[in-house]
Order: sequence, then structure tokens, then C-alpha cells
Amino acid sequence: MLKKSLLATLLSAASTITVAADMDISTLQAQLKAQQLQIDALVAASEKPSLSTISSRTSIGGYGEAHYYNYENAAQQYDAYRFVLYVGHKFSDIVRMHSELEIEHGLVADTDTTCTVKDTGDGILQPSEVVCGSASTKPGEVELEQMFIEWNYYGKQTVSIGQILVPIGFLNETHEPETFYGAKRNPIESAIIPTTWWEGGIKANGLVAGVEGLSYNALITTGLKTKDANIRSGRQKGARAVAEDMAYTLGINYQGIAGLTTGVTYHLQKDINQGQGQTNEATLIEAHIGYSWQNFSTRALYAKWDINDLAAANAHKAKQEGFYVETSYKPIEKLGVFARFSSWDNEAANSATNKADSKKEQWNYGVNYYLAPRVVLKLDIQEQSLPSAGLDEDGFALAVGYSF
Amino acid sequence: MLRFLYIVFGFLLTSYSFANSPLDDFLQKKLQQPVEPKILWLNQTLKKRAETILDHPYQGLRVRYWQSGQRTAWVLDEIGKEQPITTGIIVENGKILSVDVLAYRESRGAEVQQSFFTRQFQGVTLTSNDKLSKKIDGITGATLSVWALQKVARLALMFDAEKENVNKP
Repeated sequence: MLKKSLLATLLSAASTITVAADMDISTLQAQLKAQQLQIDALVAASEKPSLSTISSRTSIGGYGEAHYYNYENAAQQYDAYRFVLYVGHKFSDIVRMHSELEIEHGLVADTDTTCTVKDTGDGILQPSEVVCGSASTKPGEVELEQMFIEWNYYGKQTVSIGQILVPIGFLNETHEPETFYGAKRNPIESAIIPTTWWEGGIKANGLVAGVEGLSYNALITTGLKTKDANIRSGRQKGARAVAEDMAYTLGINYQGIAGLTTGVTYHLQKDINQGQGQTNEATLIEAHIGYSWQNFSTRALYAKWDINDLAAANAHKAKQEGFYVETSYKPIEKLGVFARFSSWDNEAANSATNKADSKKEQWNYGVNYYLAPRVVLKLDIQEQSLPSAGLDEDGFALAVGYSF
Repeated sequence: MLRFLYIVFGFLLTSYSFANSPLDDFLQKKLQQPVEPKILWLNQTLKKRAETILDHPYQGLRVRYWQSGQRTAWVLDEIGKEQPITTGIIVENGKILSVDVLAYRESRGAEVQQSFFTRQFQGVTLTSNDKLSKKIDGITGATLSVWALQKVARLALMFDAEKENVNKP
């Protein structure tokens, strides 16, 4: 009986100990779990950027380039060519803002239009005795090159609204200095395609479903405004831009093979004069192809303007066209060499009053040396063949550029 | 017309409501079974190597990854020009099996998401100096996005190679 009662007592005690042990383990497990959650929370907090949530949604970047020119028939110059700051902000996963503010040529001076009179005392005021300031005393400009809201409304389809770079050619959208060879941009993507070219309006772009590498751009924007068919100076740059006639741009690009890029763009402006009742319809067509294989790259681009119904004095500008071919090689990661041939003509249509040869040709050779992937030193040797003798700007340019 | 709009909005609403997250879809497709995430804590050596690969410090003390047999999945962010690109990389036995862009937020260079580009990474390994064993052909106009994907591919290979060493007690 005693044995039975002892056994019962022992069993009861063992059972109590087991329950207590079970309770301890479950308590410990709960504590461990709670501590793990605390550790996770602490680590997650320490991994977050130290800036506030708002500023972590805001990105800042930029690029800059400075040049030195040493050409015949031109002044030797140093120029703080471009200094650009980007600010972007992510409002949500599908709504973002992009902007780009630029200072060109280093100095923007106040406008000075006041006049002073220095009468020599003869009682008659001569034109030479009136000295007025100039509205453009310095070459610099402050420009808002981009400022748009991008709405990724569905899948890989996007709409952008605001001040937008026209998606055409190689350089107009992507022109950070380390992305191209040569100090200045090539003459075709300067004199024919007026890079950097931006307009105000709306752009739809995206990847075409079902065809790998095929993408499109479609834009309705403001356009150029020029009464004498001067393309480059016709850019209104979004400064109270006259919008009597909008511009329409359609581009198709194919990059479906690694290393290959091809594209064509059609740009139409019903009246490049922007005058009411005018009919200076202007069209620009552009085509480009590029291919990279191993350390070799080659690219070519053609662009042509046709402008209708120009006044007789400007009729020779009714056709403006040009092309370039460039090849490059990177023997090591930090060094690239290139050669480029360019031919262009902003007065390619002969008229009754202007039949002179106006085609320009230019060779460029040189080196890009990358101090870091996004910091480049450039040498650009240039040989020109211009239609008028004694004007060729042959020589070289040096450049330093960066982006971040 | 109104009926058509109802159908379109209904379709969009349905697709938003019931779609899995891109991460869930990616893991389900690549690992083919539910797997709990593991943690790789970064020691000083790994942080230094990651910084060399990225050209900037790695933001974080640890990396989350998923493992099924010898196959590991890594989901890493890297900024192209302005915004982070979220990329999923599958590694098996030190080789990349696939690279998939899970979220692309840059305004240009969207072509890096497409398989004509990402399939170049298949079979690529890590060299002794943390470079990719094969040259990846770029995309004109998308250089920064291309670089970002190359960097996260290198990171994933490096993390995969070191995950056992670092997690040893």
C-alpha cells in the first residue's frame, strides 16, 4: 500500500515537473520569437537610409563637362560647357517626376538695356554718342531641359506630361559626357537634329507586347518657331512657347538582339513659322543603327528636314540633311578610341538666288579615357572641309566630363 | 460605350485585386515550392567586396535569400540613373540560371527587362576578382541600367559563394 501511494506521489510529481518544463519551453520559445522580432525590427530600422522618408523618395544627380578648343580660324577657348542638376521624385510606384536644370557656358549675366549719352558738345547727337547695354552680354543660359510627370499607367506603358526631351537619334535623350565620343556632340545631332531639343507636351511610350525589343514613342508637343528655317535657333525651349501649331512625333525602335539598336522617327509640324494662316509645313525623318560586339562598336545616323513654301530668300533651306558614321574600339575597360565621318548641309536645296555648294564635311578622331566609369577625359581631333575656303576649323579639343 | 468601359475597368480591377506580388510569382516560378527566406549576415569582408562591386556602400547589414536544394534566389535593388531597379537572380552551383527584372522604375532603358538582354547572363560565373566571366553586350541609351544589372548579378554570385562560410557558427 505504501509502495502504491509512493508511486502515485512520484507519478504526480513527475507530471507536475513535466507540465512546468513544457511551460518553460513554450515561454522560452515565445520569448525567443519576441526577441527575434525585436532584432528584425532593429536591423530593419538601422538598414533604412538615415534621411527622412520624403527625401529617400527624392533623387539627385547631374553631369558636367568643360572643354578647351584649339582650332584654326577660331578663337582658342576654355568653356564651362555644361553644368546640369537632376532632381527626381517618386510620388508612388507608378507616378514619378523628373527634372533637369542646366547652366551652359558658365555665366549668365543680367540683361542690361540701359543707354547713356556722351555728347561731345557739338550740339548734335550722333549715333556713336549713345552707348547701350546689350540684352546678351554673356554667352551663358539657364535652361529647364526637362520637367515632367511620368505615369506608368499599365505594365510597361508610360505617359509623360510636361517639358520633355524629343526622343530622336542617339544623343538627344542620352548625352551624359561619358556616353559619347568627342568633346562636342556630332554636327548632325546639332545642326540637323537640334540637340538638346525639348518641347512641352505629352508623350506615350512603352514596349510593344509580343515583339521582344520593339518599343514606340508618340508625342504631341509644341514645335519649333522660325520664319527663316533656322532649325537650331527655332527652339522655343518652353519659354512662353508659341503653340499655334503643334508638332507630332512618332518613333519606332528595335533592340531585340543584344548589342543592336535601330530606330526611325518621323516628326511633323504643320507650320514651323507658327504664324496664323501660314503653311510652312516641316517634316523631319531620322534613322539610326548601332551595333556593339565585344569591344567594338559602330553607329550611323541619317536625318533630313523638308520645309514647304519658304520665302524666296530662304528657299535654299527647304531641304536640310546630314549623316555620320562612327566606329570605336575599347582595347581596355578604361580606354576607348574612335573615328567619325560627318557630312551635313543646312542649305541643301538650290534656289534661284542661292546655288552655291553648301555641304560641310568633318572627320573626328580621338580618345576617351575613363578615370572612373562615369568620369571621362577626352581628346577630339578635328579636320573640317567647309564649302568656303579659309574657314576650316581644324585642330583639337580637350574635355573633362562626369555624371552621377 | 459605357458597357465597354465597365468591362475594361472591371478587368483592370480584377487583375490588380488577385494578382500575386512579383516577388511571390518569381519565387514560385523559379523554386517551384514555397520556401522560407534565409538571412545572410554581411561581415566586414563581404561588405567591402560588395562596395567594390557596387561602387558605393551596400545599404544593409544582411541579405535575404531563398534556397531550394543547390538553387538560391536573390532579390536585389540597384539604382540605374535615378530609381532602384529590383532584380531577381537565380544561382545554382556558382552559375547564374536566370536574371529577371521584377520592378523597373527608370524613365528610359526599359529594354533591360527583356529576355534578349537578360538571357546573356545564363551560365555566367564569378571570376576570382569578382567580375562576370562573360562580357555582357549593352543597350544603347540604357548604359546605366545595364551596369546596374551587371552589378547585382555579380553580387548574387558573390553572396551565393559565401553564404555557407559566413553563416557558419
